[in-house]
Amino acid sequence: MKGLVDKLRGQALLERLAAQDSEAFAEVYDLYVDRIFRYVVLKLPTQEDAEDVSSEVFKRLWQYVCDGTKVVDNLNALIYQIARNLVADYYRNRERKPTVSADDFPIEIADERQLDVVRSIEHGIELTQAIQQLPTDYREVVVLRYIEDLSTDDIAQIMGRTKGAIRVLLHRATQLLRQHLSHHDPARPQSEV
Amino acid sequence: MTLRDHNLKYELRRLQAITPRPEWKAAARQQLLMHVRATQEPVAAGARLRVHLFWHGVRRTVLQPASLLLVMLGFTLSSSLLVNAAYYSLPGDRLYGLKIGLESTQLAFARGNAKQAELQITFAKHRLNELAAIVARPSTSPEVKQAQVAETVLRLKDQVTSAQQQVRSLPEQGNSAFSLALAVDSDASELAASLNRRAKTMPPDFRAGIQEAVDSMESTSLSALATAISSTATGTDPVVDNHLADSLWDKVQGVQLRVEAAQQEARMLPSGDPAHAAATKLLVAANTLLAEASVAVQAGQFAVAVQAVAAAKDAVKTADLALAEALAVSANQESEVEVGATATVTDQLLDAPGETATHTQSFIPETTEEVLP
Repeated sequence: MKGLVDKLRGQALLERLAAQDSEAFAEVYDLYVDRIFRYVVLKLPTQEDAEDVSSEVFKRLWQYVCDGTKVVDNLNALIYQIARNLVADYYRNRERKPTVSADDFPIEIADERQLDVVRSIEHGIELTQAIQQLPTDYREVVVLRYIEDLSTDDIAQIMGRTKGAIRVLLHRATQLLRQHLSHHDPARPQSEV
Repeated sequence: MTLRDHNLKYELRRLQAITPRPEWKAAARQQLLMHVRATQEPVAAGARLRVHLFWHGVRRTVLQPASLLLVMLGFTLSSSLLVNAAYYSLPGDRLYGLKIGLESTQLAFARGNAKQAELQITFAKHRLNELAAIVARPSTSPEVKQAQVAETVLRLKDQVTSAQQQVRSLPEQGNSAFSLALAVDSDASELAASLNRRAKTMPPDFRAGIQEAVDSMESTSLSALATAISSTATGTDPVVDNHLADSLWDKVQGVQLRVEAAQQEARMLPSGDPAHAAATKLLVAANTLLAEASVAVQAGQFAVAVQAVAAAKDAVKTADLALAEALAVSANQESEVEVGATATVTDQLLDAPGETATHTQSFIPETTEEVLP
């Protein structure tokens, strides 16, 4: 039911965005800014990069919806898809410069404030480190499903996979994450996840 | 509390506490809103966009599986309701054309003469039901009813005749021709009997046309029976022989009943009336033919019996026509006398039988042999 309400709300916002309603844009921003920033910051090396990319996500969303050449009916999926593409663009540009690949990039939460937030969460550091050790796709599904709380439908749309593929990916990602966490804490049994 | 005591999914959700700096959030919001307002299109373009958006909305709504399902359901429902309404329509109704059109389509798609003949008989039964419904209609004027009855009877005759033609076009020998001919015989006979019964409940104005249709169906039935007889070897299968004999007996009895009814009508005319004499002669001939038919049936000569019954039927039909005309003239004469017609006119009619008698005379064969097969 909650999913349906969110979807309908998203559709109403999309309609208003397509009509170039700046108030609707402000509502979308308020609704998604924390989520998009969190999604991005867990993937990018610095808070500044995350802030820049997050801003760009909202700009692209406005352009995309106002362009009106494509039918959009899922705001959730669209906004995360834009964020995902921009993160990919970010790493592509970094590779050209060049540095390291996206998978190997050592994600660190450099910002003191964010570090404080993470530290304030029990086992926050271990969790973020375990997530960062996951391959890109695994990290993606774990973040979208368990942190961003998206449905498998939405995740399938964002990642361009089938729902079945997402479920398999999620299962494997959870197993791997459990292994990583048991390395951090050898006393933790794998079946606890 | 250690890591092991926590549910991993719950722990991951706690990372939702990660949020951006409030100052960045506010600044970014302001900047983005400025950007958005700067890029908003003028009003005219907005109107175009609204139209575009409207069609977007329509397209999205229409393309939803549920919407498509509803549209398909609505289409199917309305189509079936329309076809259903057409099925129960009568001549003069708006949907009657559709009903006839659907029947023609069904006929066009029917493969083979046998299937087409079956369909023609089915449609003829529809016409029969329509006749009863037309007569029972309370809101239609008698003139309109008469026209609709005439139209329906004509269509009914055509369909029964077409069925008979389909039967004739089947290969002469073979089970399919035999069974189909028997089916057409039985159906046409049943249709004729039903129509005859209904004609009795109808106003007199409608009866003449209906009687013609009854005759036509009886002829079709006889003709189908003749086809059935010619398409099978009689005398080899007792079941087949019994069936044919029963069918012929029914026909002999049917014609016999008509002979008796005509004899009663003839008694209503003065014995000196030429029409009376002519009709009596024809009815005697019909009785003779029926007797011959009975003997032929008993002897297993079914083909001979069919010909005798057909000839007897023709004789009764001719007698009926002569009697109907004479009775009509007689009724007119009586009514003229009743209203005080002049004696001169009455004398003239009595002195000279006039055209009616001459016409009636023409029906009378010279000998009964003329009507014998």
